[in-house]
Amino acid sequence: MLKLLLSTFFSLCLLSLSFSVFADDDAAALLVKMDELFRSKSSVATMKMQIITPNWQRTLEMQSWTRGMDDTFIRVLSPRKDRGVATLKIDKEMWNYFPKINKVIKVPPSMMMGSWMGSDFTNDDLVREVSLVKEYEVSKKVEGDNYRLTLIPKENTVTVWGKIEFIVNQQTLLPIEQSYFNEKGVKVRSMEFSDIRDFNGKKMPAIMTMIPLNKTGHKTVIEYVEAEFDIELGDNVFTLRNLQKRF
Amino acid sequence: MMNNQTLLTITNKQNTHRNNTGLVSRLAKRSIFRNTRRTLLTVLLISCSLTAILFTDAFVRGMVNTMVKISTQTFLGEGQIHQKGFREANDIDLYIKDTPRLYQQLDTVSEIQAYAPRVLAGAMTSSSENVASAIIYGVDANKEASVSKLKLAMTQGDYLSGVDGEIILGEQLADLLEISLGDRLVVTVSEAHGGDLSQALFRVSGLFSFNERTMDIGMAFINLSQGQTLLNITGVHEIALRLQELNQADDKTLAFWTVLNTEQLETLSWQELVPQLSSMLAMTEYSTLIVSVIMYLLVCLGLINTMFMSIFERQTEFGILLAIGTRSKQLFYQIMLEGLFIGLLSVVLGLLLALVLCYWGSIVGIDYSELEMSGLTLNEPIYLVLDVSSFALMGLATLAITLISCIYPALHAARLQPSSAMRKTL
Amino acid sequence: MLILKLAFRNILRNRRRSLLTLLSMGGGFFLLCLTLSMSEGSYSNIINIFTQDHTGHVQIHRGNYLERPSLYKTIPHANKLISKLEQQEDVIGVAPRIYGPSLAYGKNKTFPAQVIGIDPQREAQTTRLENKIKTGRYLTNQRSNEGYFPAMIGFSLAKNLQLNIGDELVLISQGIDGSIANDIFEITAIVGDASSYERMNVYIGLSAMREFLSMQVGEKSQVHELAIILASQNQARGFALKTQQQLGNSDLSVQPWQVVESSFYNSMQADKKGSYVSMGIIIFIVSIGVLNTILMGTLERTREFGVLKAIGTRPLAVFNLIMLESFVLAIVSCIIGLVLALPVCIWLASSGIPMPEPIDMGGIIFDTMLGEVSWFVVLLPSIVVISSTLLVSFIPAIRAAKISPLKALQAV
Repeated sequence: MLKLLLSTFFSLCLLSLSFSVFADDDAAALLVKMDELFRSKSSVATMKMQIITPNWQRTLEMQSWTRGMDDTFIRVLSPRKDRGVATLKIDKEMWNYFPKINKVIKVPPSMMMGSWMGSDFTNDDLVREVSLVKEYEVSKKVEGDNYRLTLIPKENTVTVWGKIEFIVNQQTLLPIEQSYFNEKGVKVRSMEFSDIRDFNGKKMPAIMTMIPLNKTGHKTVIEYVEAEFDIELGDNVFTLRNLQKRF
Repeated sequence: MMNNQTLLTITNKQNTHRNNTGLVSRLAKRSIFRNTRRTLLTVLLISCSLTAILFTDAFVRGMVNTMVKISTQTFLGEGQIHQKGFREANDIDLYIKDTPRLYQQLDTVSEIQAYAPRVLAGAMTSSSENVASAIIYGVDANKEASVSKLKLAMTQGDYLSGVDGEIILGEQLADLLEISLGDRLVVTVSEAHGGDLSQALFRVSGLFSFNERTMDIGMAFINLSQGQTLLNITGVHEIALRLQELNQADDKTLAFWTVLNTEQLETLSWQELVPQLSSMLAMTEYSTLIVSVIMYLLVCLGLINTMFMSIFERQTEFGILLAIGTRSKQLFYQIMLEGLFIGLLSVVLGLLLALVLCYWGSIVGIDYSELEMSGLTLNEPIYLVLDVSSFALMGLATLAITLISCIYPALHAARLQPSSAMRKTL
Repeated sequence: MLILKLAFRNILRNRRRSLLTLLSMGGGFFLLCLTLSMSEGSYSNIINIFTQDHTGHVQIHRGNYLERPSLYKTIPHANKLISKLEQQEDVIGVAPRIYGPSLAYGKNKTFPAQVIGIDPQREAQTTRLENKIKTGRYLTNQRSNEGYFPAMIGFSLAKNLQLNIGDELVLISQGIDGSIANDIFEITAIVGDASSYERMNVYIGLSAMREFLSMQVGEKSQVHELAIILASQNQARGFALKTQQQLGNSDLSVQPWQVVESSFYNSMQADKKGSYVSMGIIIFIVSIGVLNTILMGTLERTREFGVLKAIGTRPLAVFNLIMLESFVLAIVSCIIGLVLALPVCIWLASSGIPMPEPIDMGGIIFDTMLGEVSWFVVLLPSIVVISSTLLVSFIPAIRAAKISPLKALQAV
């Protein structure tokens, strides 16, 4: 289940400093808000990831720490078998830790396109940062209660997508759906945002459902259980040693 | 005086002798054509056998040639140059540096007809639908076309033309990624010296098919300069060579082999690069040898048989000849001469027929294109190879055997008792 | 039978002529037989060596696993199937396998590796894996002192990871339940060399593999593949067909090696086609040899037939006589050819002709050219000799039957 996903699922962990109602009509400005919606100085969060495939189903519970766009630390809490498995990403490098064999393995570039923990997301998604407004040309259209943002990649943008679309609610200015299209205009995957909750002052969709449309029976659902933003994180969080620490 | 009479007798004797030799050969010629059917049958057998053997010889030579050409000219090249150590694990850090000087050197070697520099690395290719691993080759479009069949293998779209962003894929890879001409393709590699991830966007500019699964599903080609940028190197990993003559690859005494094998560089011929191929060829050669020996034995058998038969059937004839006073020696010579004539006639006919057949075969070729052979696809017909030495050798050998097989029956005929020979049995 | 007696007498009357005819036909038979034996033999040899390397003669998979392998396409209740197969007398060995593409981690490097779970004893009976161990001990099912399962590693992979006997090998993959499969193994053997099939593989025991891929829950004896070795490779197609029918409507596919290794099969076929050309030419030469002798023999006897017709023999009888003579000669020459050829073929099949230099094909060594003894090798020459004899005798026989006695007696 390897999919190149441009829009960063994991940057969703990093949320904006403050929520503000924004009434600007300019499409680019709105996109900047989308971009910024997913940024923050730091975050700590607990979440559940449910992976559904035709052959098996799993639900992982994880804790994550992020700092800026470069550093990410994720630790799996459940199920039992995978408890303690951890991923550290610093800049463009990534390591995995497996408690059962007590080894830290650097993820080789060839595995970067591989899926993270069997989900529909790749290791690469953790690594690359994408600023949508810098890499896409955007236009806005009003559709009922929502805005539809249409993003077309710029000349030099390295992406497989021909088009990305956001459906954003006019009131909350939070996304409802993000769709990815190939060059021929066929929707290949869709991410649905739902269940807007308040996380320590921040309102954002707690549930994200990722559905690859060209593979039947596959789905990944991420639910935020808890989240805190812009807190001080110690220097020892984003270290290799932390991977192996007892918790 | 004795003079006139002696002179006359001597001249008579000489004339008679001359007449006798002339007579024997005239008789030989006449008896051959008297029973045309018998002669025809004999000649036919001998010439057909000769043609058959020569045809097989040409065919096998052609087959071997084709097999070698297919593997070397499709993509491998007749020789390759690498940085020492590269071939063990295809480590992209081990690339040939200082290429301008090397190219100059290659230009001066007369045996090298053309060379194609390449960078190569394992990569992940991603489309909107799927991700697949493949080997990415960065090639110089023109140089590559003069060494390998890449340009000829194009089935859709355009060949590389040096513009960044171009990529050509194998048809099966395109199928796997569910993309077609003009679609986006992102290639991810890890750079040399450090392994940082490097990505670039390409648009599918063309598709190729070598009719070989591993190549069509596992390879993609981009322009050399872009490949070098992507991998962050200034040299190349591999230089494929096309030599003027195929057999120069065997000849390790040629100067350039030593010159191009230094502390840094390793230059190998195709036999060393793909030893399985030479093994397969050795196997084929050996079994061909055995089959040829058997074939030749068969032909000899047929020859001897035919000559025996044709002579033994004419017992009555010989009886009559002996009865009217032909000397045994003369009869022997006559039969031997007949054999010689028949032999010559058959060999000439056989050689001509073989020449026509093999010439046709070398131009038109025999088409085997649906089948793979030894992991290579025969996408070229087999052209027969005429070998003058084979023709000469087989021709002479056949003539020799024909003559030798006449000896016993001729001896037998010469020693016949006229009376018993002429006793016609029913 | 008067005709039979006459035929025999004619044959025996002109000994020399008959002998020569026999020589030509018998010799042709002998040489054709030898050629076929050598050609069939070398193909069988290559095929046997190739299939015993790792493929086996027949393979069983789930659905279209062969075209699109997937961790999830497993053969359920494999143990039952294995015992059923082993009871059949054609079957010499059955080897079950589980495949798990993984990442292998050595001291500092990672490389993709194909990890294969095998049953060590069954595998040794079915393929030549055990013989390919260059250093170390063959696989067992024991854990090592540190509690690690043993693993055999391919030559090139060991080189790339810089690992040796006794070192730890870390394998990471994805379990059948989606979890991350990760485990440490101890290297107990290095298999093959730089050009053999196994060079990037890792072999561990079936139970170790099941634990590694979390396959122990639920159906406990699933595997991806069963490789079967039969008494001889040419039984493969028949056996595969039979077994497929026996398995009825289960989702399993039974395929002979010709399908499993289709590119190898295709190249063998192409090679064979090439040799058909030389075979055809040999048959051609044999035929014209027969043609020549029979034709000459009959044509020389025109006077004889004239006399026969003159004393009142019916045309049909003359025809039959000539055909019968040829037929008898053909049969006798076949027998003589067979008597001479059989011992040679048997010798070829057992010892063979040693090659001046052994040939190495992908780690497999060929050093003799073997022949083969089979019905084909004996029947085809017989058919060729007999049918060309009969064909060739036809026209002269008809001619002789129709000839006017007067004309015949005037011939020389």
